[in-house]
Amino acid sequence: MKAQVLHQYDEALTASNWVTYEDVADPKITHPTDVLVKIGGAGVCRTDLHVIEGQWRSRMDTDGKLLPYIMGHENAGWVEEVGSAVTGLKKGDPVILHPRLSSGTEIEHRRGEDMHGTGTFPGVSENGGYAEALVTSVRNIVALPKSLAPKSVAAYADAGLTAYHVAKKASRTLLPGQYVVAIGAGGLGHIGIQCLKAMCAAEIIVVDKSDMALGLAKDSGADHLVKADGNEVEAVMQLTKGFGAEAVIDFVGERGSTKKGLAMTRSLGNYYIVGYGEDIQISALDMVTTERNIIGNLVGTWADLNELMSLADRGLVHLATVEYALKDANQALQDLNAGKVKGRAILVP
Amino acid sequence: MDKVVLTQFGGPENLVVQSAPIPAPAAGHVVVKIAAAGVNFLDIYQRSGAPAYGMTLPYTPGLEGAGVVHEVGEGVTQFSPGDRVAWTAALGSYAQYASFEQNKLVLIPEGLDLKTVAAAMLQTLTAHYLINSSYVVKPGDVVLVHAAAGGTGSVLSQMILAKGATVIATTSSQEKAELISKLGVKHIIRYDEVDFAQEVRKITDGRGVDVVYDGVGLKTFDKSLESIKTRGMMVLFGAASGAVPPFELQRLNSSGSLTITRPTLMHFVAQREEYVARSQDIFNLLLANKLSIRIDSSYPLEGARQAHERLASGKSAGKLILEPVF
Repeated sequence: MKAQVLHQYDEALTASNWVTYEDVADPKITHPTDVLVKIGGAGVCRTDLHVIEGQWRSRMDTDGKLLPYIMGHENAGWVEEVGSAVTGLKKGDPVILHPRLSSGTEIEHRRGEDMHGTGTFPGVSENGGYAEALVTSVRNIVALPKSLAPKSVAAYADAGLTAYHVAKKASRTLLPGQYVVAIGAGGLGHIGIQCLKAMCAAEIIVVDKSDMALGLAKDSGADHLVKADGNEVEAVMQLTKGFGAEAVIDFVGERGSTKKGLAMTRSLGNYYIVGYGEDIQISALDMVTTERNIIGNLVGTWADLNELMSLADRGLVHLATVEYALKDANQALQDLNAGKVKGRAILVP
Repeated sequence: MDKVVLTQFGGPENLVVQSAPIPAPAAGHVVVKIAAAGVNFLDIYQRSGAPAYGMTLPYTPGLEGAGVVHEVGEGVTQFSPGDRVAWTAALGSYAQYASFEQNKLVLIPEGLDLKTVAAAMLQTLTAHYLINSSYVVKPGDVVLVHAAAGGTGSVLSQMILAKGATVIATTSSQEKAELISKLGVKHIIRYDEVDFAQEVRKITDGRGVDVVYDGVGLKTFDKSLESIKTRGMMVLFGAASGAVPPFELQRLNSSGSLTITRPTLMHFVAQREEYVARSQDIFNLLLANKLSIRIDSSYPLEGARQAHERLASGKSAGKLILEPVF
């Protein structure tokens, strides 16, 4: 089959071509629970640029033997062939792939938390979906409603799933009359806002420094917009009648946003951290007296992805995508690096 | 093969996929394996069952598309199996295969992909007759285009700019305003937030526009009239927000001796030569990268309902298409 292969890192991101379009061995079913998926679309994510830069080397390529390999961790397509133990799936069924391959036998996995415990992350730690096909486990298959094109939803497999996961956590505790703040209305944030709008009755306040992002937030369903101009904490306190919000979701997690995010969180409220880059600092006394919770978020579960597809099928969340042919992967990566992609770039074989 | 069939008029849930044999071509007809079909407001109007559209049940919707010739009927001289073709004003495009009268088809030149052409046909040919026939846009004209981020609006804006005229665009969201700005439009009005007629007067120093292209209908019609200069023209080419109610002709007098037309594409592509010539103009613009077709979303045939819902919601920015899965 054809695939886009990464042969070497490029720390400065200055090369004109990072991946090469070449013939590689066809992936084959080796375990009875394997599923061979014909790729319909693979999301091009900023993480892929970080992989090329070598940022993930220390975690995913400790022995220096990962390359050459195939990137692509946001994958959707159609079932091509199933292993002997797989039932309920047949050739042609549209599917999206949960991004983490786990054994399924550890207690985290049995609780549905496949992001935890041991496992691999195809596209980052091993071959992924910048290819015509990919072998995965039946555990990772989420059947798509027939109404959705795989290439239109592929980017939900990681970016969308992360946004949904945190929005679901927050929405489960939010009631009418309460407030939720989303800090950052970029790629993840604008999906998170749509999920919140679909799933809870709290008023949604969006904080961002960019007018364009705030405009997108409004389109996505935000009830209140706050420009991050240095006075955003005061603005949120005013909107929440001086109390702060019952839930704050921080999609940024750097450049001081964690301190501000915590300052916007009401007593007994929850501060959800999604973006990262700085340390969260809070005194034990402050935590005790306000009974606030700080909650981490890592991608999402198989069930989350299933639920997100239901929202997509009903048109309650939507993702802007720009298609590139698989052979044009370098163009997609270059455009992403240059900030020229409006929405998510998707590679289509 | 699969095709979408409407068995009763009404909501989008009535669009269902059914199995049928691949059609055999009648004399003078061509069976096409469809790569993509465009979704248009006209499809929604037809689905609703309003008598004005004259539809009879059951039928397969979809008035434009592109694909590859599968089989030709007796007496077909212009096309052979394997030819890449496109069409518009031909019903039955929401399917894996369809049979069309040969005069409905045009050949697609090398260098253009089927999906882009499928998405382009109805809107670009519409824009073509609107600015070359309904009213002839001249360099220096000031033109008001509503819903300029939408499929037809975006094409209209690009083609008017290419003629050296000025575009004043209206739109309803920040995201869409960004898209319009990228087309090179300098004047963008958020008609969900301000009185666009007043804004138009400000931009034109009180004069008004030479022509307004209004595909929105009910919601914009009155303010559109107020935006036109004396002896200017209104081209009402759609009713995305609902049909315009009966209209007192005397208003054209008091509004400045205005001219109004309510055209439809069918009458501007009925002659084969005209259809082919307009298509050729469009293909040349696409090949020269002077026209870009933005695709908002693609759905399989089973997603026809979702595509209609998204188009009707006003949230789409660009073209919606169906791509059959084989």
